[in-house]
Order: sequence, then structure tokens, then C-alpha cells
Amino acid sequence: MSRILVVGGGIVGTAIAADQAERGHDVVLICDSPIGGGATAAGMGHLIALDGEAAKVELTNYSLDLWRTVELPDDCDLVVCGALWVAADDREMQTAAAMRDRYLSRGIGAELIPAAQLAELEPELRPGLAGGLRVPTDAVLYPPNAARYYWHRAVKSRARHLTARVLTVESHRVQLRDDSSERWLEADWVVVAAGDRTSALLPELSIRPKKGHVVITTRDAPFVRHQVVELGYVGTTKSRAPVSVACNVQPRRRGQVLIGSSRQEDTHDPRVEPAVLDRMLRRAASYFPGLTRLTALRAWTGFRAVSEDGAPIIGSLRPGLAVATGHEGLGITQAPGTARLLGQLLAEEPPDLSAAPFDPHRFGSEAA
Amino acid sequence: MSSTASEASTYDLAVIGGGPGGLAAAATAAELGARVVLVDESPALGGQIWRQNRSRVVPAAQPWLARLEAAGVELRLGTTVWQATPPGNLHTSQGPIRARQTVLACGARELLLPFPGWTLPGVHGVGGLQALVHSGLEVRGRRVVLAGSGPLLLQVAASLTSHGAQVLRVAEQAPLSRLARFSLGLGPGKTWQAVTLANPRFRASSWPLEALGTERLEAVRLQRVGGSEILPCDLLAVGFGLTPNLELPRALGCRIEEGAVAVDEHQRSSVRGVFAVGEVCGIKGAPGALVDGLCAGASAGGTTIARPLLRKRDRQRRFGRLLTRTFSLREEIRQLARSETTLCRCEQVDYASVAAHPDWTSAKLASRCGMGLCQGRICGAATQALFGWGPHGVRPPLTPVPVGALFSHDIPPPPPASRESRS
Ligand SMILES: Cc1cc2nc3c(=O)[nH]c(=O)nc-3n(C[C@H](O)[C@H](O)[C@H](O)COP(=O)(O)OP(=O)(O)OC[C@H]3O[C@@H](n4cnc5c(N)ncnc54)[C@H](O)[C@@H]3O)c2cc1C
Ligand SMILES: Cc1cc2nc3c(=O)[nH]c(=O)nc-3n(C[C@H](O)[C@H](O)[C@H](O)COP(=O)(O)OP(=O)(O)OC[C@H]3O[C@@H](n4cnc5c(N)ncnc54)[C@H](O)[C@@H]3O)c2cc1C
Repeated sequence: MSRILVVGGGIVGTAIAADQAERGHDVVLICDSPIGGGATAAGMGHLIALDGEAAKVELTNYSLDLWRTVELPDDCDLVVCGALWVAADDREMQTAAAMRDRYLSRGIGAELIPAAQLAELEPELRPGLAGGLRVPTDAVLYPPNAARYYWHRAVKSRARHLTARVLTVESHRVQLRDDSSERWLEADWVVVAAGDRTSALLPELSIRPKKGHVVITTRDAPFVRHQVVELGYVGTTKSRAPVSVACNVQPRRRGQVLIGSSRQEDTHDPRVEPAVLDRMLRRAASYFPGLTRLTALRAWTGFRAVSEDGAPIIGSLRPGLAVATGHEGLGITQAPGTARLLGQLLAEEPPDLSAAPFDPHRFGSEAA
Repeated sequence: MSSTASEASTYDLAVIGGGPGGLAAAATAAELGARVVLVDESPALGGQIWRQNRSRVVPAAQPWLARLEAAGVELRLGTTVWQATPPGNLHTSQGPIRARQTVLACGARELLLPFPGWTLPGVHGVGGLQALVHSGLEVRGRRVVLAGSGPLLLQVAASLTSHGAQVLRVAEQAPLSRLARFSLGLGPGKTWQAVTLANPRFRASSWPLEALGTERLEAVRLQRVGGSEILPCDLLAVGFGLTPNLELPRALGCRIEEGAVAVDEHQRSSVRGVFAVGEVCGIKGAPGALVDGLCAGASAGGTTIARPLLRKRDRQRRFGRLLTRTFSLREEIRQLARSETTLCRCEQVDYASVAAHPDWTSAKLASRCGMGLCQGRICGAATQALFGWGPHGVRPPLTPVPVGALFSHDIPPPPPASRESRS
């Protein structure tokens, strides 16, 4: 049995804590926000079958398989609503067709939806769209309680929790501050899952925050059925423009509608910005004109953690110090696979998927 | 007139709230020559106490309404301010408003604390029931019990009686000893005894233990000296005092002290160009709110506040502090809820699910308490009173507004001090 210190109580840190505790290790989780806080509290909770670079797709699909094996409690609000990627014009429809082929080749169900059928599936979409692609297995959940679910599993295997700020991490130990006293804790492994704040603890890793806004409505008559995303969304996830927005609208199990999404670089300011809300909501309303009559209840922001190449960073940095972060807009989806992969790496078991694309050392000379 | 659209929407002063405090501030500043806009989310002026409707004209409000009109105050009613930045950039449900100064006159709301049965139909807030009666609810012949704390209980009891209701009991949690001291502080002619003696149904050291009934309210069980009593009734009005509406002040960054906006002798908040008047800077009643408004109107309008007015204002502030001391809640009030008693009404979260957490943020994340339509206005204030949980952060929209109201609020930066003419 080893002593493991996990820094971070978001979905990634809690999933790692559960995996490590269930392997029989003595786990202490340290975070300075409630369990399920951080970006996890801000995320939309779309469990998304990704279309993109092979390595990320592999991690995503591996994770989705794991999500399907867990039995989430009711308060996680899991709904398998499917995703609908909407094509505005014929060019986007061609993109949709290519996406379908890639999904099918990986064994993920996906069907092209002709324009005429869109209105049937999502009556609130504006007329004149070219069609879409439906991925019926995509789901949504409430991320903070999914993190709490993992945390309850960890606790069942005797994990413990410290509310404290970590000041320094080193191989085999961390320095933390709680109730204004500072001290060091020793361990066999320190695992940093500190999300967008990782670089403050590990300056050798470049993790940039990417700010996002979300708006939630009051409960009303059903408005959307699927997680509806415009096909232009994938472009915005890689955009380097100061602000990019995409229509991303989600039905919550309790009847609210979640409206996203925005991406902003180079800011750590957590405040909600009316000018960004304006752009984001206009974009969403350009697909769903009826959105304007729903009632906006709350808005919030969160920070996605982005690595230099946009892929997660998972693995050992040096003996006694490991890291798991950099999931950008996919951390909820990819958390179970991340935890499992890291567990296999630390235990020196053969990993279920290739770990090289996530290797913390891959930035090598660039980072130095 | 050749002013452009953006100049047209720049005011010397924006007043948020059309209750006594806001009316007095707006009229005074406008009479001093300021260009004033008054914003209120309600479709009618008057605030909590003077709000008028088709069936209700409030004589006390008339002179103020006349002065507003004579002084040319622009009205934006039915307009919700959902975000603001200093000194006067207001994001509203009807578009942006820009002003060089702001008076916050956004009032207070009732403090509602959970006790078994408080969510049964037939149980209301004291002020809420008063408002319902003003807008036409028929109470003639209905048996009513009022319980909780504060002068509003007796005022509303009197008003209900005048509307033909049968008031069975007015239960005030504060002990008689404190009420007696309060009456001394009121000055001659206005003694508390006079008020309470006029109401033989009044009981001190009495509070609601449980609202009884299956489908709706049937009776209430009250604590009283030496035991409890059960009173069958049709309506129960409860209120444990008022709590300032601090969302806007906090969005603007105003310093808060003891649960209210801190102001100086000119009614200035800690934020330059932002004033506060009325109950948002301390519970004091409508007369106190009026005096605050006169002071802020004078300051914002660029004159000094007359000495007699200052003295009056200081008296009102002392009265406000006396109110707070007199009606401070006893410990038992914080122990009324049972594990299964609803704490967050919007999201149907019970007391135990909230109390299990160390703070508001984790309680909210895990139990969804405070995530509903009232945005935590009720249960947030309750958890502050019950558990001492600090006030939580405010984010726009400060009030629920239509999604479309969040559009087009890219307010241009303030104009440069000296303008060059361009063609
Ligand atoms: C607007 C938005 C929408 C999103 N939508 C989706 C979606 O639909 N689907 C999806 O899969 N993903 C989505 N994501 C991404 C997802 O939310 C994140 O990738 C994921 O939550 C990251 O989890 P984490 O555990 O790595 O980090 P976090 O949740 O940020 O947790 C970090 C933890 O570390 C702690 N911490 C940090 N530094 C310290 C320190 N020095 N001392 C102590 N504790 C520390 C924090 O307190 C926190 O507990 C979205 C993100 C955003 C912002
Ligand atoms: C429910 C209730 C009932 C009451 N009934 C009585 C009574 O019967 N008798 C009595 O003596 N006292 C009563 N009071 C106390 C009384 O309200 C105050 O003493 C007095 O009205 C305070 O005046 P004010 O100017 O500070 O604020 P208020 O009169 O409360 O006025 C505040 C105004 O601000 C507006 N406002 C707030 N936020 C925003 C926003 N974001 N955007 C736009 N507008 C906004 C509100 O619509 C409201 O009209 C009551 C209080 C409450 C809460």
C-alpha cells in the first residue's frame, strides 16, 4: 500500500482518488474548493463522443465505455439525450457526412439528418438549416455530483479529504496551508489534478486558462431534446481569436436549458462579461430564435485547462510526482479514462491505451 | 435638439428604486437641475409601501409623484437592472442606461425562516400578504394569525382588520422587556404600548412552531410563555424582519457593514458616484427612507444638506439601530426547522440536505439549494441567519430576465472630458 496525495477535487482529481483508493492505496485528497468545484462546477456536462485527433478520440471512447459501466446516483441527472450537430449550409453538411463516416468506422452510431427531419427532431431550430448529424449515445449529466459520486467511492475505500491550499509540490511531498498554518505532507506519489491552476504548482508545464460563459434558464415547457451543437463548434475549440462563440444548447433533466458556449484566451478574470454574453446568446438565438423568450436565471464562467498542443497531460513527471490535466472542454467526458490510465501507469501495468500522446515530457525542449 | 442617441441616454443621475427613498432622491436632485432617470422593475411607482394600482391610491405618495413630474424626472418602469458597473452603467431589461452618478434605493425584502409547514398554501410572508391585499385579495371574515418579529406585524394586522379580516393573534418573538425599551425610544405620542394595547391579540415572547394542515393551512401552533397554543386559522402571515437587497450594491462593489450598504453623512457609499438610501442601507421604515432620499438628492444635486435635515436623518438612523436591537432574533427561532422541513422552496431541498455541508457553495453545488427562480434570495438569507454562512458572490443577471434582454449591452466607454468637434 502506498500513500497517494491528490491535489484537486474536480472531476479529474476525484476520479483519480477513487481509482487509487480502490487499488488499496492510502489516499488523501487536498483541495481549496468544495468537491466538484473548479471548472467541474462550471462545465456543461456533455459526455461527448469526440471527432478529432486519434489519440484524444481514443481517450474519449475509452472513457465513455467506463461511464457506461458506472451506476450514477439520481442526483447526477444523467440523461442519454443524444447530440445533434447542426449544419447551417451544404458545406457543413459535407462535414457532417465525413464525421458520420469516422464515427461509424469507430463503432459509434451516427446518422445524417436531412433538413426536412430537423424540424421534427428539434422544432425550435430556425427553418432553412441544411441538416445535421445525430449521435444518439451522447449524454448529459450534472458534473459536481458526478465528482461527488467518485469521491463517495474513494471514501468507501478509506480516502480522506483535506481542505487546504497547496503552496508547493515536489517529488514525494507537498507543502500546504490550512487555518493559517503551513506544513509538509509526505507521500509515495503526489498527483496534481489542479486544472487551470496547474502551472502555478508546476511551472515547467504550460497550462493556459480558456474562459467560458454559460447561461441557464428557468424551468419551462420542453425546449430542446438533444444537446444541440452547431458544426462550427469544433473550429472554435481550437480558435486563437480573443473571443469565439458557438451555439451549444443543452436540455437539463429538470427542465432548464443550458446555453453555451464561449472561449476566451489570456484572461484570469472570473467575472461574467455582458459583452460576451451578448455575442454568445445572439449566436445561440441565430439557431434557436425562441430562446429570447425563455428566462435567463443565472450566468457563470469557468476556465478550461489547455496544454500547448491542446491534448491532456497524464502521467509521471518524475518519480513521486505525477500530473493529470489539460482536458480543455472535455474533462468531464475524459475523467474516468484519465484516472484509469494514470492508475495503470503508476502501477507500471500495461496501459489499456497508448499513453505517449499524453506524456508530460512530450513538450521536451520547447518547454525547457 | 441635436443630441445623438448615446448622449441622449447619459444622465446626471440614475435612481434605482421608486419607493420613498428613491422618489425623494430623484425629485430633490431634479429640482436642483440634474437630469434624472428613475428605474423600477415594478410597473408602478411607490415601492413596497406606496405602490399604487387601479384600486389603490396612496395619498402620502401624491406630493412626490407631482414633484417628480414637475421636475422632469424620466421614468423607466417595468425595467429591471440586471447588472451595473460604477458609477452609473446600468444594464437593464430595456437596454443600457448611462449616468454619472447612481442612487441605490432598491429597498429590502422579508426574511423568511423555515419552520415545519411553512410552505403550506395559506402561509404567506407578512409583507407579501399585505401586498396581496393591496392588489385585491379578499380577506373579509378570514381568520388570520400573524407571527414572527418586527413592527410590520402590527401594521399589517391593523390593515387586515380594516379590510374586514378577523385577526386572532399577533405573535412577536421579542420579549416584552425589550419592547418596553423600544417604546421609550420612540418618543412621546407614539409609544409602543399605545400600539400594542390597541391590539388585545398581541403577545410578546411568542412565535410560530408549526403550521398544521394536509392540503392547506388549517391551524398554527404557537410558542407562548409557559407552553404552546394551537389556533385554527385560514391565513398565517409570518415574517422575521427585513433584509436589505444587496445584489446591486455588491455588484457595484459597495462596502457592506452589518448586512447593509455603508454610507457616510452625504449618503455616499464606498464607491465614488454611488449613493444609497432607504432600507438598502439599513432597516429604518418609510420616514427614514424619505429623509435619506432628501439628503442623497441634495448631495447628488451638488448642494450641501441643510442642518435640520441632517439632524432628522441622524434621529432616523438611531431609530433604525433601535429597531435592529429590539427585534433581534432569539436562538429558538433558528431551531424551528426539522430535518425534513423544506429549506429551499424553489428546488425542494430539505433542511438536512443543506445543513450537512460546511458552507453555502458546497451546499448549493451538491443539493441545488439556491439554484431556483429566487436565485437564493430566500434560502440564501435563511442560511445566513441559521448557519452564519457568508453572503455568496453575485453574478449577472442579478434578477431573472428574458434571454433576449441580455442582448446588446456593449456599453461604450465614458466620453472624454473635453470633446473635439468632428464632422
Ligand atoms: C464553460 C465550460 C463548459 C464545459 N463543458 C464541458 C462539457 O460539456 N463536457 C466536458 O466533458 N467537459 C466540459 N468542460 C470541461 C470540464 O469542465 C473540465 O475539463 C473539467 O472540469 C476539469 O476538471 P479538473 O478536475 O481537471 O479541474 P477542476 O474542476 O478545475 O478542479 C481543479 C481542482 O483543483 C483545486 N486546486 C487547484 N489549485 C489548487 C491548490 N494550489 N491548492 C489546492 N487545491 C487546488 C481546485 O480547488 C479544484 O478543486 C467545460 C468547461 C467549461 C469551463
Ligand atoms: C414585502 C414588503 C412589504 C412591506 N409592507 C409595508 C407596509 O405595509 N407598511 C410599512 O410601513 N412598511 C412596509 N414595508 C417596509 C417598507 O418597504 C419600507 O419601510 C419602505 O418602503 C422602504 O423604502 P425604500 O425606498 O427603501 O425601498 P422600497 O419601498 O422597498 O422600494 C425599492 C424599489 O426598488 C425596486 N428595485 C429593487 N431592485 C431593483 C432592480 N434590480 N431593478 C429595478 N428596480 C429595483 C423595487 O421594485 C422597489 O419598488 C414592507 C416591506 C416589504 C419588503
